[in-house]
Formats: sequence, C-alpha cells, structure tokens
Amino acid sequence: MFALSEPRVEVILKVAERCNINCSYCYFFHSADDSYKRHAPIIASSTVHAVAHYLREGAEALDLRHIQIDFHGGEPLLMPQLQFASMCRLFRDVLGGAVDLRLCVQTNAMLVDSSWIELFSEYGVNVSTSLDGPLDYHDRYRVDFRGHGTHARTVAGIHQLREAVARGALPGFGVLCVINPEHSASRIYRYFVDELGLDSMDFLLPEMTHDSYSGPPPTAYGEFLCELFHAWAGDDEPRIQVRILNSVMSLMLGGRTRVVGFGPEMPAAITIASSGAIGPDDTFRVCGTEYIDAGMTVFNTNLSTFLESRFMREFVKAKQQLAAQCQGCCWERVCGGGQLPHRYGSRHGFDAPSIFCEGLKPFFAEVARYLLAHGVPQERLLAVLLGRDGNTEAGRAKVCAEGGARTSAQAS
Amino acid sequence: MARRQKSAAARKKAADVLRQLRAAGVDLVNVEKATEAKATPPKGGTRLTAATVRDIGAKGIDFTAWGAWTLRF
Repeated sequence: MFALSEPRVEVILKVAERCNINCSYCYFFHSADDSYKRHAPIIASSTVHAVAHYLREGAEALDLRHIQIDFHGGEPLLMPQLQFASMCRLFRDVLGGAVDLRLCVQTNAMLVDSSWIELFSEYGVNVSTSLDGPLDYHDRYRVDFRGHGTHARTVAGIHQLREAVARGALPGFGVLCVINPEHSASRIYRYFVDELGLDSMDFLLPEMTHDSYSGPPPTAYGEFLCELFHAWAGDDEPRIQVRILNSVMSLMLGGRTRVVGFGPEMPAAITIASSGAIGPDDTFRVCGTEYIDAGMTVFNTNLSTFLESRFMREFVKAKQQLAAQCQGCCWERVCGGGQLPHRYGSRHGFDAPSIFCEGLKPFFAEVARYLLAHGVPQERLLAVLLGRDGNTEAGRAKVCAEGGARTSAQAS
Repeated sequence: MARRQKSAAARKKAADVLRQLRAAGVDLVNVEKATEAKATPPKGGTRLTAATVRDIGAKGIDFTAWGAWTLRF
C-alpha cells in the first residue's frame, strides 16, 4: 500500500516531448529510454482534459490537499501559447476548487518573451529555468541542433524574467544548474548572485546510474559541493536559497526536505507523458523504459490504482530498504540512501549506495563541521544523526495531525 | 532483558556513528545528551544557521514558493 507522507502529489506533465535545443547530457533524449519517439510532440487538448479529471478524481479519492503540476518537456514553451492558456484555465477550473493547486514550468528560457510572461502572470505559473553558469560553462553542453551555444538566448530570457519580477508581474523565479565537477562551483555561484542577481538556485547531480556513470570520480562532486557550500556560507545571506545546501543543513538540524534524493522521505510524484502514459518520478527514465512506463494511462486507470500498483510499491520498498553498505552509516538520516536512480544498476537493481556516495560523505562532513563551528550544540547534531530527535514517521504524523492534515492517505 | 539489549544496541550504534564521524573529521563526544534536544537558534551562529532553525520551527523550508521545487526540476 502506498501511504502518502502528506496529502500532496506532484505531477510532471510532459506538455512537449520535443526540444528546441540538444543538450548533450539530457536525460530525456539521450538516456536509456526513447519512449518520447512514440509520444505526441505536443500534448493534445483531449489528453489535458483527461489529465485534469484524472487528478480531480484522484484528489477526491485520496483526500489530497495540494497538487503541483510541473509543465515539463522537452521544452514546454514549444506549446502554442493559446493552448498553454487553455490548459492552465482548465486545470484552474477543474482542480482549483478542490485542492491548493500550484502550476510550475521548467524552461530553458530561450523562448521567454513578454507574452509568455503575461501568461505566467495571469495563470500564476511559477517559473524555473536551466542555466549551467557563465557562457564557457553553459555552452559546453547546452547547445542547439547546429552545435551553437545557447547561453546568450537563455540569459536574454532570464533578464526578461528578472524585469517581470522587478515590476511585480511574477513572484520570483529559480535557476537549475547541472553539476560538472570540472567547473568551478564558486565561479558559477558568484556569476548567479553577482552578475545575474539571482537568489533562488539549485545544483543538480547528473542523472546517471551505476551502469551509465562516466566522467570524474564521485569525490570530485564532493569537492564541487564543498566549494559551493563555502561560497554560499561566506555570503551568510539567508535570502539566497541554494536548495541542495538549504536541504542538507535543514536535515542536519532535524528539519525535513521534500527534495528527492535527500532524507528518508519519498515524496509522491508521478510523470504523465504527452500520450497520457503514467510513470513514477521522471528521473527513473535513466534506468530504462521499463522503469518509467507502468503500462497505465490517464485513460485506463485512476490515481489510487496507480499509486498502489506493484510497479510503484517496488520503488517505495527500494527507498525504505537501504543497501547493506548504507545501513549504520553515520549520514543515513541525511542522505536517505540517495536518489533511487543513482543507486540503480542492471545487476543489482537499487541495492547499492548512490554512485555519488564517496562525494556526498565529505560534503556532509563539511556541513556538519560548519554547524558545530557556528554554535550548533554537538548533542543536537548527534541526536539527529542517531535518529533520536523525534524526526520519525510517527513524530511527523503527530505534527501533521496536530495541524489538521490527513497524513496517511492510503490508496483505496 | 529486552530493554537492556535495546539499550546496548543503541550504545553500540552511537559508538559506531561517533567513530565514523571522527574518521570524517567531525569530532563529537557527548553521546549521553543526544536525545530529544530541541532545535534552538545556536549561540554564536551565523545568519544562515539562525534562519534554518527558524524555518524548521515554522513549517520547514518551502522551496515551492517560487518554482517547481519538490523534485529535481
């Protein structure tokens, strides 16, 4: 049975399964799954309609309070603007009265213009963009189909977003950067903060498995993260959110994070393809088509059935069952075993530590040393690492229950 | 008997975690007090540690306020 840790589901909706650029590291177009070739380039209106009612029915059956829909691709802004507006309107109409609905879009920002910003503003769509740092870093991998860099066009879009935030048309926007340990973390951070004026960013470990891992050793990722942490901690400016750093620091102080890949929780997330096919969190795509295609669609099943399917239960079981090497590790409570696709290998399934384990451990140690050096009592830190801080499922359920929320919406 | 075994297991786990931490350059010694310690703003802390503790006390850090942040997108 799939028990939701909170009455909330996130939906990655593939509104466009084509892209206007051709990033060499893209997990969607260049990994073990090629199902996009068989899916509609742009989601059909009839599919959007089915998705809206699928989620409405699921919200009622599971007593959901929050649904977040991430318009995702490919490049979601390849969708015609009129269709995008109709889609947002439909979701607001069908779901808005039933749940707290959050609409988001993840874009390379190259197509952002005033009319897109008007749509984001009108329908309350939160925006996140992809940028890998200054020009020489970004254009190394994020290129168009002719091999030309895309940095200038992305930054032009970011400037438009910034201007929209400044005049109050948008509440803010974020930037995601894929980590390349050959690059300087502090240079990227300073570029984002000083040159682009950004204050919400994240740095992502690349989507790789034990089968596909290549490049610098995992320790290089740890060095990158430590350098990033020092740059951020040196600013000591809470207004600047670096999600991976905020998350780890929060976990070490007994807090929680909803971010996949850290901590013991597995947020409920599904991916809906432009064809209406349903699967788990999109990152499982790197494990192969059989891990993203459950053989179910929004046309032939419902959300409860999907969440309690054997297919989904396998993932939950894998998250709960740490690899033998991880059991008893001092960072177990912070790491949570790592992101499942990072644990995957065709020989052992998910029964292995994260491919980034040897890099994450020194990073966690660095954060712990920082906390101890800045007044956090050692007994507090140790209580968290030993799981004696009350931050358990039962403890959380109690907190949620006190807040009046349904905490364990079992699939019917 | 069961309680004694449980307590011994907890002590062993704590010792093991401390050993690992020490090897990682994080030197902690005060095992006995590592129980239900509350998160309070640390004395001599930075603005970041204070803000993190404050956020935990409230409702957790809400990255979703401005973007698609629950997942890695």
